[in-house]
Amino acid sequence: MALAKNAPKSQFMLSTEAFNEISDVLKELEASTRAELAVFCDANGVPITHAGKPRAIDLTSLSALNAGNYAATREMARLIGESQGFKFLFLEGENKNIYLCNVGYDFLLSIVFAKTVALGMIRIYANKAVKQISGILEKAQKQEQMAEEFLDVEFNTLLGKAFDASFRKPNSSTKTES
Amino acid sequence: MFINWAQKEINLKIVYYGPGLSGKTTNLEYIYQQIDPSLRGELVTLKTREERTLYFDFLQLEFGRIKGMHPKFNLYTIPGQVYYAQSRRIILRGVDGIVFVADSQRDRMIENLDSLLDLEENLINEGKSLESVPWVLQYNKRDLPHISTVEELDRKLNFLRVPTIEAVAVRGTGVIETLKRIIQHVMAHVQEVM
Repeated sequence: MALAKNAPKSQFMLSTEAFNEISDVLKELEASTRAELAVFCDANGVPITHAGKPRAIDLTSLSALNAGNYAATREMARLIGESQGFKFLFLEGENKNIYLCNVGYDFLLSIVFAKTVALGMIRIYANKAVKQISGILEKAQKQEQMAEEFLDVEFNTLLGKAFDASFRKPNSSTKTES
Repeated sequence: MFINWAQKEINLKIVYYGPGLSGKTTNLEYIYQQIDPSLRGELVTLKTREERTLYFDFLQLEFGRIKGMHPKFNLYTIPGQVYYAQSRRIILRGVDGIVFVADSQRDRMIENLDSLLDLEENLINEGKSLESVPWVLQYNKRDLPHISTVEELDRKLNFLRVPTIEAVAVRGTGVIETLKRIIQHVMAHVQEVM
């Protein structure tokens, strides 16, 4: 799980096929470990796919915080001379724990699991999942789909209209003074 | 930018940058209040006991389905204080667009310039620059006394002639317009580089 030496990509596209394959890896990981939740997100905190029962867990916020947390510890590793970064982060709670590790340079895998599940087992299955996902991503990069088809002037015009319709009219929240 | 074809999602990252107390978090709070609640996520804030941004604020916005895709904008603020340099570097990673929130008060010009130089330095560390990343300048706090004129701010901060917006973020003036400008700018840039 060492960090890749290459710089992070500024654009990344994930095909439907790769998405489905990664989702299957997460399902297997969740079933094998009896974890509550396994989330695959990009290193900027965008959740991509998950397995398990998020129930009341806000995956968007969890992923953003995971990414910030991971990036902060990578800088801590650098400060103490650990150039490859830490292999994983383990957050231990009263009832639930979080295991967090990177998948190459651009992605993260986090697992939420109960205290009754052994950390050792999570580590073994997480390592296996990281290898599988890395293989899927490598293959997917060779089959990039084209985005020009929809990211055009019309898209921007429609986005502008949707934007305008999404906000309250100016001062609509202002109460009238009596 | 991250495109998830299976979920038909386009994710873009916009960072609000600027000196401490220039109004970055206020921008996000106003957007959070004004947008249709069904189109936004939670406003995540990591603050110190003194209510200053410690690490970042985060807010995700969606604008429905457009040409079969769901564009999502992930808005982040950075902690403005000088000593949080490391946090700013981390948050800039993977940025697609920047709103630089400048404080219009005359005695804050040096802080604005320092923050802009800090931004340029951090972008260079990411293999980018102020010339390669879409950004807009928000001149905030236009309601306060002792402020620089727009011409002065332009001369000192807007050397790359990027779009500028005058704002009073605490009242919401210029906040939504700023967001719209940066989104337009980012989308135009995405088309250019594709």
